[in-house]
Order: sequence, then structure tokens, then C-alpha cells
Amino acid sequence: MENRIDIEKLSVRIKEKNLLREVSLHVKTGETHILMGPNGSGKTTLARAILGDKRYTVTEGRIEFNGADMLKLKPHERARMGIFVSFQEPVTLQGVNTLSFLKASYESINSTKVTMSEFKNIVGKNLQRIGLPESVNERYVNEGFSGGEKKKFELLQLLLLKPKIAILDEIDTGLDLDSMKVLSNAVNEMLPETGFLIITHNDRILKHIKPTLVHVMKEGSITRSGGLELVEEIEKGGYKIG
Amino acid sequence: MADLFKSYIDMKLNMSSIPRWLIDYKQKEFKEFRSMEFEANPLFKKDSEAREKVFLNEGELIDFIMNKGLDKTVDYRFNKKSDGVAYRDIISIGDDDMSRSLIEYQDNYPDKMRHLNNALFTTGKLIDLRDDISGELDLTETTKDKLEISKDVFHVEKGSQSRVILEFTNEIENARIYKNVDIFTEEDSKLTMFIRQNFRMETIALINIGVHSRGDIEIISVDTGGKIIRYKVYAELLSGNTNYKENKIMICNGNQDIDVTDFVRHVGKGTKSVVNFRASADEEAKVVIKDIITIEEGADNSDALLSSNGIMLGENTKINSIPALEIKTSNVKAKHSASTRHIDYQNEAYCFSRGIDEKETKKIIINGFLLGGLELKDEALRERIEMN
Amino acid sequence: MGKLEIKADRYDFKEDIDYKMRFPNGLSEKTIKNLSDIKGEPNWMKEFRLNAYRFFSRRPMPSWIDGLDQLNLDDISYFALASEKKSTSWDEVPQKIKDTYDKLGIPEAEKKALGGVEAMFDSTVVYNNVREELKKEGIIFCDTDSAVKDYPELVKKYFGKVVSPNDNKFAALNSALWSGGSFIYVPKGVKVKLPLQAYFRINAANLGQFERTLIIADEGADVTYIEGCSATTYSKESLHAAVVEIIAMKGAHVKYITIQSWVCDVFSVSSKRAFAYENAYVEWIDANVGAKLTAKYPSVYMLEPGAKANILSIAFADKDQHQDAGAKAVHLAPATSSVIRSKSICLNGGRTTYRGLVKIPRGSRDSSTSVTCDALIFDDYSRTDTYPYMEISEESADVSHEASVGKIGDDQRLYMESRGIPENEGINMIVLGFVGEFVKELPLEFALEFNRLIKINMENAVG
Repeated sequence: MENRIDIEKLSVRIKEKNLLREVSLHVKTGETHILMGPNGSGKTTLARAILGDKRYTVTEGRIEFNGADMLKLKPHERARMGIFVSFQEPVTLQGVNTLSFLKASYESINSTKVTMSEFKNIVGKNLQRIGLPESVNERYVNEGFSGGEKKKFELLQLLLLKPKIAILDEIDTGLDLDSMKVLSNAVNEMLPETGFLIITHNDRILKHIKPTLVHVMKEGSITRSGGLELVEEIEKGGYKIG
Repeated sequence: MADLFKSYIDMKLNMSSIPRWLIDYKQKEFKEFRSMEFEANPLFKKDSEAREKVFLNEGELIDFIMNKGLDKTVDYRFNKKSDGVAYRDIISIGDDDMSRSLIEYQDNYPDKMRHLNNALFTTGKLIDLRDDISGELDLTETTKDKLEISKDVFHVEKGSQSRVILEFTNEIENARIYKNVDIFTEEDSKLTMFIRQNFRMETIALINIGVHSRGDIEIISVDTGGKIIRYKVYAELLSGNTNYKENKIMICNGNQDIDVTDFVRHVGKGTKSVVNFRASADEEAKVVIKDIITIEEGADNSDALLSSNGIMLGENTKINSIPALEIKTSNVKAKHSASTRHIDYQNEAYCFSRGIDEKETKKIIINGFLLGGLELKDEALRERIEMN
Repeated sequence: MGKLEIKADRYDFKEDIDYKMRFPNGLSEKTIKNLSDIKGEPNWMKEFRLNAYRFFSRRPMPSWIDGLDQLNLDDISYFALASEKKSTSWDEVPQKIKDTYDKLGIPEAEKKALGGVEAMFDSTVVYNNVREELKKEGIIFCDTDSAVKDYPELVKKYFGKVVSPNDNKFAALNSALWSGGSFIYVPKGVKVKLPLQAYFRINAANLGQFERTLIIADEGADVTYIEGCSATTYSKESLHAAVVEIIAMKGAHVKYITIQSWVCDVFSVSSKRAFAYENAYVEWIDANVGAKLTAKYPSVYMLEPGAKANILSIAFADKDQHQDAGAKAVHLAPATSSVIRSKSICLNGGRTTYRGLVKIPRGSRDSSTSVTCDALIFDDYSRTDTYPYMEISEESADVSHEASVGKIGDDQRLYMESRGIPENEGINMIVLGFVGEFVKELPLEFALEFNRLIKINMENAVG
């Protein structure tokens, strides 16, 4: 089953500032796209815009999922359609228990209801895989989590929710080597059923994941797209290229 | 008007068959009521005065005294009758009864309406909790009438361990409810109390809770409902090395006017208090949270921690907080923090991105805010709270 | 300008000083009119004073400040010309006063200014030279009396607009009787390089009872002003009611630093308020040591979006002293933010009170405030109270407040000693660390003196 997300000449602004200029990007099931760029280039803005963050205004362009217009859908509706956006800075939800949160999310995305004990099982299997301890179930969402733990929690959700298209914003930052392997294994395993857009700061992840296409973003636009050779160019010349 | 009010009271009291000591007590309390100003505490005067007057409607009160007499206006339903709990009507306590001292007790917090309640109450129970209590005391007080003035006294005996669930509710929409609740705990006792207050939308209620503690106490209270609510807690920690823990959760919406005052006074050495307020204010609710922690001279090695947090959910809500500290001795630790915030869109967006819709997201975040940190080991209790 | 070294000692003054002109006890419209005439003021100022006086007589004393009941307003002589700059020669200054200043180690030039003598040659030169430099950039810096005469339009436009005479009883008293104080105007875009008080350290006008200071920072201007000095200030007058008004226009930055250390029984009640316009930033950095009763709540009214306030207050109360201090931040526009920090130390029965008000009414969208109050209490005779008020009617506001009270722990003392530091010195270090935030805000010379001041007060208090 092929799913696709098509971003066509998307321009986005916040207050008076133009953040994205005519960005176009297409991601299909089975593809892994890497998006790189210097700080402030608009990578996270793109992720936010795909999510539908109301603080950003779309001034022109389209976002379509399997041909359907996404722009008129609310964020949680987009998530239900199968689009997962991980947060670069995952938020702390005071007093909200991790399990309860994950269950609410799982039930909503899958339009189903499960019992807590069933759900604990489902989560338990994945916890092991990711390297988060069982005790995480007793905690509050991201409260007191280290940077690495937060990213792992995002990864946990990725595995649990099995989205059709996943946009991962710097999920690799702060991961140790083992966790990096877990991440890449998960991505590779999910690939046949999922399309990935991985936003990253550095190229470490490329050692473990083979990208379909690499894009460079600068000052709100995608300046270059290409294969792995693009990455080498960046390594040599920095983001001055493109 | 003043004389008239007093005359009616005297007349009614003398006509009744309540014990002599109780008549004297009520007359004394009425005198105190008359001699006091509305808001004794200069710190809160600016805020409270005008608003408190809504509770004093002399005509209505006179009518009440004349017509109600001593008839029951409150239905006490003991949901689980436990052995080891002895309860009596206050009116039935005889002249020589030692329990008189509990009824007549005066603490450090003079309050005009509190005196009035003591002078006029027509319903009241003295509940003794002894050590051989099995199970817990689960009591629902339902106000059946348009006006209720009651006084409840809980007494936890030396060395006892007790659990009390107390629920206040009412039947008639725009009722007025005045309650004085006094809790006495003796040395080496432990009391866990859950107070649930759920009044009808148009109700006006003034609840004074006096806590006179020589033991350890933990109180969790959840307040919803009502139109104008005054909730005052006066806690004095009298014996050394005792703990006081209070978690208060308030859910305010509609056009409620909620005023919560909490005084915690450390008298004994080595006393520790942890007070946590959490309020959510929606629509047009106006909430005022005042608390004063006082550490008296001599209360060495005391420790006080107060945290007061509000979350604003509507455009017309108002949250005023006055968290105060009065420290009269040096060998102590006292800390308080207060915050008023709104729901951060970033937090909402996170939930949306996981497919959770707006209504559910709001519920999750607000519940997390109100209940997080409450270590509720009891599942049944937790469910009862989360019912909202 | 050389570095000024001041060694301050604290001791009691028992002598009297005979002033050249004193009004008889009690006030009346006649006294006000006389005062204005002596000063040679224009009519509008005379009227201003009279209106203020009328208001003063009608207003009751504020009931919420403990200790104020000891102040008998009829007992006070309201105008003393000893603070008049035009005095006689150095020889005429009483020996005792001269001795005092010797003990304080104040250099020649400043002694004379303190003594009320016409500034001697060097300090006059310094003073005038500096004023000339400032004038070149369009900066006006003079005493308020002169400003009324020399810059009437400017003064008339802003005088009494931030703190109106009707505001409270003491503001009214000041408005009727004010004398001395500073007037500063900084033109658009001008950044004043050195803190202004540094230009003349001891201004005789500082000893005035009813100083009136008005600072106007035009768009984009930047100025720091330092009031008072760490040299212990002698004053026979038992009441000091100052008014400071600050206007910070669009994008301006004003930092007002007060180090006030009184030696005797003084009631110091002042009204300090600032209006901050669009993107303006106002800072009140306030330290109060001594005085029988100090009541001051520096405030910032943020009137336009982007305005910011920073209020930092340090109070130190020894035996029989009560520092009732605090802050007030009123957010009257969206996107405004305020930071309030209060640190207080009380010992030997002293009493410190923090009283603060933060108001964020509906419409001040996306405003935020953070209040932190910390108190150090040394013994069981002392008392510290914290009374913050937060009135929040704006849903998008972000408000946080924290307060803590404690004493120097035995662990801390032990730790110091285990590292070979004797107890008193250890306590000093801890106290200095406690007030460290405040010290960071001071220009270097003042920082050193302030530290010394704290040290001396601690020595006297702890023994």
C-alpha cells in the first residue's frame, strides 16, 4: 500500500516574518528523505507546518496526503490520517502519566479501545527494544527525562503508532551509539510500510540509514537535492553550497 | 436591626430544650460576631470586605431562626457505618460532658461569620474516632433546605489511625450553606481525610474548617460547583514533630466567585507542613487564593512548603493570589511558590501530533495539572476524584 | 577622577546642629507660600505646592504600615536650610561635623560639600567640568530647584505626572515641600557613559528631607543614576519623604540605583515610580540598610508593548529597625515582562517585610512576571514577612512567584570552619553571597563599598 505526502510550493510566515519560501517536497512509502541545513534555516518550521501548528500561517502552496488537502485539517486530524511529527524539543506534560498518554494516543489513532493491561503488554515489548526501563510507566510525560530519554520516548511513540509518513525532527540528537542503532533498525524495519522525512543536524545517522534523497535547506528554501554525494560536499564546504 | 436579631436569638434559645452550657456558648459567640469587623486580617481587607457582606443577610437569618428552630436541615448519611466511630448530635451533649471543650474551643483565628455559625447552628454532630475503628468513615452531608447553618466536630483520639471521607452537597439550587467544621487530633494519631465539595450551581456556601492538630494529618479536598464560595482553613500545628499535608484542588467555571483562605500556623517544634493548591479557572470564574504560613517563635526546626498554582482557561477568568509568609523565628525553613499560567500551545500541539483531539487534550492537560503529584495509592479514591 | 576610598564606621550621633532657617513646627498654607517665595519659583509651582498641601491635610495616615503610628507629623520641623548649598566658609562648620567626616575618611572636597559649604575649588571644577561635558551632548543634569527655573517647559510637562500629589499622603507632603533632588534629561539616542551620581559623589541636596527627582530619558536614551552613597548619612530630621519620577520613552533604558544607609532614627517613606513606554526598560536597584522604618515600593508601570521592568531590592534590618519594602509591577500593555527580586536580612530583633503587587489586567496579552523573595533570618527575635499580591485577569499571562526563608545552616557554618574560615568571616561570606545578585548590578567602586557596608553592619550586629 503506497502512501504519499506532497508538499507543493509551500510558503509560511509567522507574524511579519517569512519563514518558508515555496518549499516543495514529496515523500512516499518506502522512501527515506534526509533534510539538512544550518540553524534557523526553517527545518523545524517545515515540520510544524506539516503538523498544522496554528502559530504559523500558510501564505501559499499545498500539502496533500494521498491527494487529499491537508491544510484544512486540524493537527490531530492529520495525525489520525497517519502523519507523525516528532518534536525537536519534546514538551513536558505536568502530571500526565506516560502510559495514560500513550494509551489515549494509541486509541485515537487506531480508532479502537484497549484495556490497560493489554496496552501495558504492547508498550512493554517496545520499551525493551528501545532501552527504556519499565519504571517509565510510572512517570509523567518527559518530566525529569534526560535529553536522550526524551528522544527515546519519541521513538517509542513512533513504534507504537506505526504512522504512514513520519517526520522526525532531530530525533538523533543526543542518542548514544546503541540507541542510534535501535533508531536505524526501527526505521529500516518500518520502511516497507512507511515514508520517512528525517531532519537532522549532522550526518551520523547516514552511517546507519540509506537515504533515498538528501535535501539541503537554507533560509527557508530547499536549495539542493541529491544523493549521498551531497553530504560529502557539505562536509567539505559547509552549508555554503547551494 | 441589631437588637432585633439578638432578641430573636435569645428568645429562641431560651425556648429550646438545649443544654444550658450550649445556650451560654451561643450567646457568647453572637456577641463576638457583633463586635467584629468583617475581615479582621488587614492583609486581606482590601480584597474581602465588600464580597463577604453577601453572606450576611440579617432578614433571612432571622426568618431562619424563627421558623426553623432546631429542625434538621442537613441529611447526614453515613455510607459505611464503621465500628469505632461514635457520633452524637451536639445538641445532645450534656453539661458535664468532657466533649464540651471541643465545641467551645477558641483558636487564634477570630472570624466574624465563624462566630455567627457557632451562635446559630441548628444541626451539628460530634464524631469521635477511636483506635478500634475498622474500615473508614464515609459521610455525605446533603443540605435539604434553602439555608443551612451547621457545626461538625471531628475528634481523633490519642494513638488512633483514621480515614474519613466527607462529602458536602445540596439539593435546592440557590441554597445558602454555612458550615463550621472543626477537626481535633490528639497526640500520636494519624488522620487521612478526603473532603469533596460539590454544590449546585447557584449555591452560596461559606465553609470554615478549623484544624487543631497534635498528630499527623493529610487532607485532600476537591471543590466544584456553587456560585459564591468561601472556603477557609485554619490549621494550627500544636504539638512538636507532627506533619500536616494539604492538597486542595479547585475546578472553577461558569461565573463562579471562589475565595479560598488558608492559614497554617506552626506552634510546636519540628512541625512540617506541605500545602498544595491547584485551581483551574474557566469561562468567567474569579478565583482568589490567599494563604498565610505563620511560624511562631518557639516553633524551632519547623518546615513549611506552600505551592499555589492556577491555570487560566478562559478569556474572562481572574486569578488573584496572595501567598504570604510570616516567620518569627530563625531555625526554620519556609518556602512558597505560586504560579498562574495558561495552557501552553506547545503542549497542546504535542498531544494533537499524537492524534488526540482538542477536547481530550484539554482534559489530559488539566487533569495532569490538577492531579499530578497526588500520590493516591487508593484506586477507589482516585476514581472518585477523576470523576470530574 | 581618582578612586575614592571610604572607610565607614558606624556610631551614634548625639549632637545637635543649628540650622540657619527653620520653620516653626506645623504646617500651613502660609509656610508653603513662604517656601515657594524664598525659592523664587514661578507661580505654577507655587500652585502645585498649595494643591498638594490641601490634599495632604485631608488624607489619613496609611494604616497598613506597622510603626508609622510612632511618627507625629506635627512634631517635625519641615524646612531646614542647612542643606542649602550656599553656606559659609569651612571654618564655620562645627568641629564635631568636621571630625565626623574625618573619621569617615572623606576627601577634602566632599567634606565641604557634605558640610553644606560652598563647594571648594577642586570639586567645583570637577563638578562644573563634568556638567559642561554632559551639556555638549544635550544632557541636562542639575538640581531640581534650578531645573524649575532654567527648564520650565520640560519640568512643567512631566513634574507630578508619574507620581501625582494625590497619590498618597507622603507624596502629597513631598509635593508641597520638596526641595533638592536631581533633574535629568537625556536626549534621543544618547547613552550616558558613566553613572550620573559618580560625577559628584556627595550632593548636599541628598541630605534634604523632601527630595524630588525627575528623570526623563527620551527615545533610545540610556542612563544610570545612583542615589545616596554608602557613606553613612547623617540626618537630624526624623522624616524623609522623597519622590522619584522616571519617564522612559520608547526604547530607553533607565537604571536607578539607591544605596541608603541611615545612622539614626529615621522614617524613610518614599514614592518611586516609573512609566515605561514601548520597548523601554526600567530598573530599580534598591538597597536599604538601617533607618527606624523604611517604607518604599519602587514601581514600574508598563504602558506600551515590549516594556520591561527589573526591580531588585535588598533590605537589612538590625535591632529596632523595620524595613517594609517591596515592588510594584503593573502590566498595562501586551508583551510586557517584569522581574522582581527581593532579598532581606534581619537580625537582633530587626524586622523585614516584603510587600509586592503584580497586576496583569485583561488585555495585557502574553505578559509575564517572575517574583523571587528570599529572606535570611538570624535569630528568634527577628521577624520576616512576605506579602505578595498577584492580580491576574489575563489568560495568556505567565506568572511565577517563589519565596523562601531560612537561616544560615549549621552545616554551612561547619563547612566554612572545616576549611579554616573563622565563624564571623564565614557568616560574612554567606551574607555577601546572599546579596551577590545586587552587587553585580553596581558599578565597581560602589560594589566594593557596598560590600564593606554590609560587612560593617554585620560586624556591629553579630559582634
